[in-house]
Amino acid sequence: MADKDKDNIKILLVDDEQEFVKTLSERIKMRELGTEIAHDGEQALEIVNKEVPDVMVLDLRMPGIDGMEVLQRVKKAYPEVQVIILTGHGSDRDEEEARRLGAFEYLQKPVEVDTLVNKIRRAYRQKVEASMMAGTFAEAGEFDTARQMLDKDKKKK
Amino acid sequence: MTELQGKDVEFFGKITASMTHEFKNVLAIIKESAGLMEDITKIAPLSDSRHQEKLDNALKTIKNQLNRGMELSTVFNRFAHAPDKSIAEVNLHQLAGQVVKLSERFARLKRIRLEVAPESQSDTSLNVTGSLVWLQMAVYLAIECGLNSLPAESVITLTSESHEGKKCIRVQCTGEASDPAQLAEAFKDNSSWVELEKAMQALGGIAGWLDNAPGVRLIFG
Repeated sequence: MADKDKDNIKILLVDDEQEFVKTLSERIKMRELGTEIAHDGEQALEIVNKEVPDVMVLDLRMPGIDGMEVLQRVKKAYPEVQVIILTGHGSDRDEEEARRLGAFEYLQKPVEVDTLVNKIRRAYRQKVEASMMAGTFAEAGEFDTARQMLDKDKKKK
Repeated sequence: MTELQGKDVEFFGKITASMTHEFKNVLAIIKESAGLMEDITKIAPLSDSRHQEKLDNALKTIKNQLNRGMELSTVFNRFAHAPDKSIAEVNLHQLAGQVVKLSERFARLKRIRLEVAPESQSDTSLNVTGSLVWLQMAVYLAIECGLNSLPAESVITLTSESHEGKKCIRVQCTGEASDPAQLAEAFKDNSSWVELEKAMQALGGIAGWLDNAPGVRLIFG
C-alpha cells in the first residue's frame, strides 16, 4: 500500500465514481488512515495481488468485473480480508448475496464518513483476531496457496 | 393483469430503480465534497468569523437538503424495486410508512397532513404477502380518496392493526368533514374508490368502512 496510517491499516477503496472515491479518500486520510484507490474490479484485483489490504471498501456496480465478483474472488483467496460493501445500487437481494459471500458490512451511499471509518476500524479488529486464530494455517503455507488461487481465477477469465 | 402489462411494470421498475441508484451516486459525491469542505474549515477556520458563519450555514443547508434527497431517493428506490418479486412479504406498518412518504407531495398540495400512527406493541408482526405494486397501490388509492374528498387542514392517519383476526390498515380522517356517512358518500364518488375496490379484490382483501369513525379499513386476507 502506498499510504499507511499510524495504526497501519491497509485500506483499499474500490469505486468507478472517480470524484466520489477521491474525495472519500481525502476525508479518510484526514482521519489518520491511509488509503489506496482502484477504479474498477480488475485494478482492485491487481492491487490485492501485489499487497493484500486489511480492509476493502467496495462498490458493487462497476464496469468489467463487478463488485460481487471481486468480493467472491478476494474472499476465496484471502478470507482474512474484510470487505465493506458501499453502494448506491444495492437491493435486498444484493445485500443477502454479499453477506453470503462473506462481506463484513453492507452500507448504502451516501454514508457518514465517521460511520464508515468506525466500520473500517471494527473490520480491521476482526481481521486481526481472525488472523491470530488462523496463525497455524499460515505457517503451513496455506496462505500462499490462497494467493495462487486468485491468479488462477484471473487466468480462467 | 396481462403478461404484457406485467412486463410494462417490470420495465418501468428496472429503469426507475437504475436511475434512483445513479441519483444516490450524485448525492454521495455532493455529500463527500461538502463534508471535505467542513473537515477543512474545522482544521483551518476562515479568519473572518462572519464569513465562517455564512460558510457553516451554507454547509448546513447542503447537508439538510442532502438528507432530504437521500430519504426521497430511498423511498423512491424501494418503490421502483417493488416489481422485482411478483409476490413478497411486507410489514403493514412499513407499507403504510412507505406509501405515506410517496404521497406526501400530493397531500401538501391539498394542504392535508398524512400521518402514520406508531406501531402498537401487540401488532408488530402484521405481515402480509402479495404483490408489492398492488399493495402500495391499494394504500395509495385509499389516501387518494381522502385527498379528493377532504377539505384543507384535514389529517389522514394510517394505522396498522389486527381487526377481528384480520390484518388491516386503518385509514382514518379527522378535521372538518368528520361525519362518517357523508365521508363514505364522498369516497364512493371518487373514481379512485372503484380502483381501490378492484385492487383490494386482486389482493384477496376488501375495503370496508370504519365502524364509528370517518375513514376506511383495508382488510388483507
